[in-house]
Amino acid sequence: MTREIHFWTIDKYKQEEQWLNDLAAQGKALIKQDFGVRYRFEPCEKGEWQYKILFTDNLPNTVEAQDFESFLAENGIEQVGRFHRWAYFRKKNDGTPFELYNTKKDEYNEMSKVLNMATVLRTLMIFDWVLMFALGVFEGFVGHLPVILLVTVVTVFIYNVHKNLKGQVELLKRDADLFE
Amino acid sequence: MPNNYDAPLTEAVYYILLSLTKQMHGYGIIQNVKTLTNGRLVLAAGTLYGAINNLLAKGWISAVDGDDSRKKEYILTDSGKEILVKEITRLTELADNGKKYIDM
Repeated sequence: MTREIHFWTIDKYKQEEQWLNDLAAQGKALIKQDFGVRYRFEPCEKGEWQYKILFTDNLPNTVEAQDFESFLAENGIEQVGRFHRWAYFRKKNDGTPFELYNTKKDEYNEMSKVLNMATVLRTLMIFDWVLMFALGVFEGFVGHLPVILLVTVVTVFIYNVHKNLKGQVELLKRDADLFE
Repeated sequence: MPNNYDAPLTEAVYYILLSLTKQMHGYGIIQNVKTLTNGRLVLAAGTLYGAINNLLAKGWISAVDGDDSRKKEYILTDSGKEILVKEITRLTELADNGKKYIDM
């Protein structure tokens, strides 16, 4: 078993999912995911497992989350990780694509929820940045400079994450308007 | 208003309701829909889960105790059947009109 630390931002969760599937295709299967960054892998037959990452409606350990997990378990889908509303699932590769949703609208709804979370984060960071800047104006920038710089970097970073997500959601919306 | 019906059902919901004319659990619904559509439509578990919860809330299906207590089973209610009949009428109209315009 190997333990690894990886960081994926919330706008890249589809890429993260592809990465896990690529690893499984090479014979390295995720067996546990903790705190959103710690991954535990085990050797497997090449292509034995398929993975899916989902932004769920509920926080872990709620009745709703457990109900959803057991419903998926009845259908041969195992939960291997849970962090906040993010859930990591896998199923044995039976030659069919691993999908948790049938419709573009479902996919659009899921990613819209991720975008909503990013919007809240972005708003908080902008508010924080304005607050820091105002303090700098009133109390002199020198003392506040490190904090202002740090908040600026984080705000720009989150702004870009939000922008990426928004682009993906708009593409999905176009599909959702055309197809079921 | 459990019988409020003014929009086409999604394909998934239509086939779930149709399957539940017989008592079934989630996995049974997936298998039944796959058989009915000759493998064309494989219901994804997330879509099925969301649809079942919405249909329960609308009162179009109800949960019943199955043979295996670990798995919940579901069955169509009278109001669900009413919706299904209306949808079949609508789909028949769509198909009949299509055939009038296109030689098949």
